[in-house]
Amino acid sequence: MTHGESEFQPSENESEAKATITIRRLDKIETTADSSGNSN
Amino acid sequence: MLRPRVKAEHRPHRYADGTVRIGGEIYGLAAEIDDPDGWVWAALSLMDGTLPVAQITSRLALAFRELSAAQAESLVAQLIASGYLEDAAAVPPPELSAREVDRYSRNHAFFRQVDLAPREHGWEAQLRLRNARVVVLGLGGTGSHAAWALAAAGVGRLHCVDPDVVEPSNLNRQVLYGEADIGRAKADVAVRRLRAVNSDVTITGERLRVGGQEELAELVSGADMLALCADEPRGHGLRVWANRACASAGIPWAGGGYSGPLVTVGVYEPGHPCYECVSAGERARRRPGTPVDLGGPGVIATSAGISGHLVAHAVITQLTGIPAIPPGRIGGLNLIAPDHLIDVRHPARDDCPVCGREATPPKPFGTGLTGPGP
Repeated sequence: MTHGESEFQPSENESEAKATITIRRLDKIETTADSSGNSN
Repeated sequence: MLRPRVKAEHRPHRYADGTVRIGGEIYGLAAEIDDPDGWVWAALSLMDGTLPVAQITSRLALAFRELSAAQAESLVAQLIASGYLEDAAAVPPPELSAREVDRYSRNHAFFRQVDLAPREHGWEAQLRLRNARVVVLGLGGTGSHAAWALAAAGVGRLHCVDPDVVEPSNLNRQVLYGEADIGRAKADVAVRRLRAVNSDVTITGERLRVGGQEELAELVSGADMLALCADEPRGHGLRVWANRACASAGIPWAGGGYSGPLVTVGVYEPGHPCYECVSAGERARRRPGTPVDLGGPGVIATSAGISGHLVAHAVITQLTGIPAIPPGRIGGLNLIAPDHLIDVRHPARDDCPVCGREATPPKPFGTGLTGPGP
């Protein structure tokens, strides 16, 4: 294996990073605005 | 966090394509997580408050062979850091009595929902309020509602200031007074009424008409925040005094009111654009020669109530830091134009003596909790 090839091998850290999750906050248009459920 | 549990308000939902929705469907809270392998859903399902973190990660790693123990641990840590979880093992702090825990249980649930920062027990915001001292200046249409809300919410020390007596024309909107109070000093009646609302907080008051910046500075000395709800002296002058007095004291302030159907609140804090800069920015938008319209006497219970509650909520937000909304802005609504929501910001002017480059650096202010806002 050449040095160049090794750069494309996933390192242990990169492999671990596969467990990274992305929490995407919804935009206004993706949410509703009816708050009538609770009024007490 | 000992035993993580998804907050009840943020109960997750899994769509057919595997995407996980969490945080309900309110803008600022709701979020989605891509979860093609089902790891997130499985982790959230295990986070029901019955298992310690170590058991959750080990069960997750067992369920998914492709997931290493370290990856499972990382995934669980990321979910905990998201703020959608709470510690099922947490107990209220000893500073709060059982009566306070019961009284403020809905506050606790509110902060639990809107606060997306991991907390030890979720009562941090309530403790911030309990430890705070707030001056409410003006106990009329805006101030009476603001003072009531702050007392009910549990602000530990509230000082209520107004020079006037209750008049019949006040009763259409000023929530602390009744017919039997006509002719009595508003400050006295307000203190009595607020003590009856919440005897777990300290309410004081005085009958005073603030006559200048120095007097206002004396009034806010030792306070954590000023709620400016007075309209005399009329208009800009009193707000400039408040701006400068609070900047000198190193404390934030909120000022609210109404002009007919337009109801707004401004929130300012040292280190951010001050009232005089935000106000100058608005003046610059006005057509030259336009007289400043301070509005007539028209006000209804609802416009006064919204005004007072906007001020009170600004105070609560500022004191707790939940959510972390940058101050130096005016927000509000126009009751005759539902599509007109106000959110005005202007930069600090370089030559501003209060917040510009030449200004004396403000004292550090750190009463708010840290943590990401929505």
